[in-house]
Amino acid sequence: MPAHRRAVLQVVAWTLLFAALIDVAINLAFRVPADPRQKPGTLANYFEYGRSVEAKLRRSLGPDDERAADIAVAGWIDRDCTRAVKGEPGRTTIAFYGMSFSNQVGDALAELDPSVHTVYFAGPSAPPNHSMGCFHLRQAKAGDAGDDPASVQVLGVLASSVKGLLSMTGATTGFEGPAPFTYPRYRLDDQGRLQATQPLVRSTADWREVMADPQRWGAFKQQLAQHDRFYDPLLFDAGVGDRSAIVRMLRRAWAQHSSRDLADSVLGPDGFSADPEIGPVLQALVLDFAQRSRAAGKRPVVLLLHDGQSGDALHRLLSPVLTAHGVDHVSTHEVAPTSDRANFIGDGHFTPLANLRIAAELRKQLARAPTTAPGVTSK
Amino acid sequence: MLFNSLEFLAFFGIVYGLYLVLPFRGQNTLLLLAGYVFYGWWDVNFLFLIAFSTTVDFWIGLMLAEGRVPTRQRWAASVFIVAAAVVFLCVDWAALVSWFTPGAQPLAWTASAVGGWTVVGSLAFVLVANATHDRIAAMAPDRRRRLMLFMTVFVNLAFLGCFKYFNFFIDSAESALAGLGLNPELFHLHIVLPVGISFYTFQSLSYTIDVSRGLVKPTRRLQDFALFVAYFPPMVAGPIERARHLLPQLLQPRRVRWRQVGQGLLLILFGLFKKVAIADGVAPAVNAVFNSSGAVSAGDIAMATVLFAVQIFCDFSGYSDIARGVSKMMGIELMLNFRLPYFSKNPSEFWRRWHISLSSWLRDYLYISLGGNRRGEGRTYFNLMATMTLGGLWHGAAWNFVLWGVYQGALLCVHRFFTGDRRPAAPRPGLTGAAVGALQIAFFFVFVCYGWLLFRANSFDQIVLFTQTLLGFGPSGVPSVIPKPPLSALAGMALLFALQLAEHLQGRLDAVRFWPRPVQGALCAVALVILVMGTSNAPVQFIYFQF
Repeated sequence: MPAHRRAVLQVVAWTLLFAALIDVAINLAFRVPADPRQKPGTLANYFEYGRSVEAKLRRSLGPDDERAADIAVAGWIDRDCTRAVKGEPGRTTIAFYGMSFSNQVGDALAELDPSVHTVYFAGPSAPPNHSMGCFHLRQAKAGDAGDDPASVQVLGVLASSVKGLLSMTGATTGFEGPAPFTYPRYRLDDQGRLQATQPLVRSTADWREVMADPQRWGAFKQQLAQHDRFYDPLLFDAGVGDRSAIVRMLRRAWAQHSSRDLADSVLGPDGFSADPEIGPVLQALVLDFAQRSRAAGKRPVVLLLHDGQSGDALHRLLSPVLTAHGVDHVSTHEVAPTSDRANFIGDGHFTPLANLRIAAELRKQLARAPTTAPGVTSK
Repeated sequence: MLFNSLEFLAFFGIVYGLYLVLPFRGQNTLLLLAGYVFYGWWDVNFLFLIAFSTTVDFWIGLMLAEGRVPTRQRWAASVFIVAAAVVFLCVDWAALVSWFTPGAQPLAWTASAVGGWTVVGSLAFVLVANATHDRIAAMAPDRRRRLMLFMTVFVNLAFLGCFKYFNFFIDSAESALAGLGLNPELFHLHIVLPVGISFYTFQSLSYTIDVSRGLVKPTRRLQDFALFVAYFPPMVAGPIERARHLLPQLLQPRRVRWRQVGQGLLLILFGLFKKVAIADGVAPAVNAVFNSSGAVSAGDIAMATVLFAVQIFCDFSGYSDIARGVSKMMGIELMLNFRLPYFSKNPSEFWRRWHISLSSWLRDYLYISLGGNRRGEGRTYFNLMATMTLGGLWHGAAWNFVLWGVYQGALLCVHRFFTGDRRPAAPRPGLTGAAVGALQIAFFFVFVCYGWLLFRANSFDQIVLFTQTLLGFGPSGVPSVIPKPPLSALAGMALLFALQLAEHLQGRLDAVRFWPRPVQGALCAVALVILVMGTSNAPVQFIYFQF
């Protein structure tokens, strides 16, 4: 064999050998604890990101809820949104439907105004369809029991979570840290009415049972394939690739790229796309929220939370519709613009100061008389 | 088509597979087609500019060297330019592509107004060129040479002026007039900047200038010259090749050697490593500071500027490495474009190490044409300033690039003022010498970084604000907003620094080649794993594509 050819092939062989050794070394050095309640180290977590959703869920769900990871038990609509809430005498109860962003604004509002009592119905990075699924369930329950003390209902819509309208579970939208909670998928029918498709899995116990039953597991994955645009078998299904750190890193890259492509197709530099399953559905959801809230004798407020690179996209999409229908709303794009990084902390949430500014805007809005407009039922 | 995309992987796989089995002429035809596909992937319409540039410079090259264009070449050029106008501007390529998708509409011939007028213009151009050919051929050689040189410079710079600088100068004129209390609404061209226009224009221009100087023989086959302009690896972001270096390689049968394949693979691996793992990894941190509308702390500005120095080096030299690697695998050598630039101790050395193909182009065709250092000290300073200012403007139509060019020119002038034409002193031996050398490098790196701040800034106001903040006159108590770069970038920077330090200390860029093969393999494996880690970074378009 000619010397140059031999040299090239030898270097390639050494490269592959060392790459395999590095792969094994990573697996040995950065193991994830078997107990889902124990948090792995930063590097172990890093090399775990690319494991399949199924494998990550099997670990995080644990044998029961007591021994499951925190993320596995968070955000379940059937459990969280049917809990009894009590008001406090002399204080105005405000219910927040949303996610951590809206919860933090609620906390800041309570800090600014001691006469306010806040209650929260939220899921991790919950999309509007989670909030509305929660709201609808709670409305139905309150209608039966009449025990909802909140006189103001705030729907928080987070710009970066709007893409979740195309999904049914946090397990598909958040590849690196899948949250198994589920929520309905909303679409508009030919008459423009909202239609909901409910998920087959509605609790961590459901997940465990479904995963243990190949037929039900197949049916659930079939539902995801049909109704969840973030579902990708390459990312979801466990396999031998989970054993290799390099394959996991490649899968993570694939997840990032496909998720980014999908997110970019929903929210780009020019705002939200014209996808009929995004803008029109979101507009219908916030109006439905306002209408039902007013019908129940409560004051609806929509909180438009701009994060990431969203600029004023939510404001542009929803404010005209909300204004036309006389729905009170507060947008963060002026009080805490996304172009100023000083408004955000490292994990992407607003800083405490920005939360206070947003809460002050919300307080101002609440101090004004509620607005109504033709076409919106008000009690 | 980005080098770091799956599309390019498939594209190059097909091209390389065919390349290895085709005979020499077939290889050249394949490379020409590949160049047009590679560029047309962004925008088919702009292929007309390349075709036009090719035709004009091919014609002028022959006129410069032989005093006439033979009939056959005239026909070829005439047919080529008109066909290019029809194919690239009159065919609805979007419809053609969508025709392959299910439920597509029937294809329609949708000649746009631009396409129609360009065909008419091309026909007129062909008629005028052919009609004036004999008159120009009959001119005195010196007069003809001057006319042809004027034509090539005019046509190529007109392209650049039209597509790259027109709106900039109009905007600047509007601002200047507004300062005088006038508010005119001047004419703007609503066009996008063709990718890589500055690179292929300069490459094509170097051919005609070299022909006029007798440094290179003109090619008599239009196809060969078209390949020189549209050879895809360096087409959109360099290195800016010279005809005397690239053309002979394209005109001779080539043999792909294992040595070149090995070196090519290594260059591609490290090029991708620099781009994907490091440049794309630090980009969000840099953007967080430079795209912020709020107050930014001095620490963040300094960190973002240093990270931008890393980003632009890894982004641009990464592209050059991949271009060189891809080309090497086909048996064609491209110019070296970077030689450890951040190990420079002064501006003169920096410009011999950074973007070598541009700095040597500016030196050969602009600085020396202006008189270089042959017309006295004052004129030399003027020539340095003019060359670097135009070099800054070459990068982009914005005042911060002009300012960057002026800054680089000023650094060169100051350096020249203190050192003159003296050759640099030999470094002192031993640890003291190494320490002094390291200090010199670190000291000059600060000046390099401030240049990058000018280069990256989004506006003149930002330059002023950031400079004030760095000097301690900015707002105080501003919290840090810069995000931490990902692990791939941190590990990648450490590996790259170690590798470049070893190359610097050993005094050769290919030091790795002489290391034991297991060490080479270990190095490649680490780079490969870090590259795989970096594939999660959001891909960013190569910075120099916009130039």
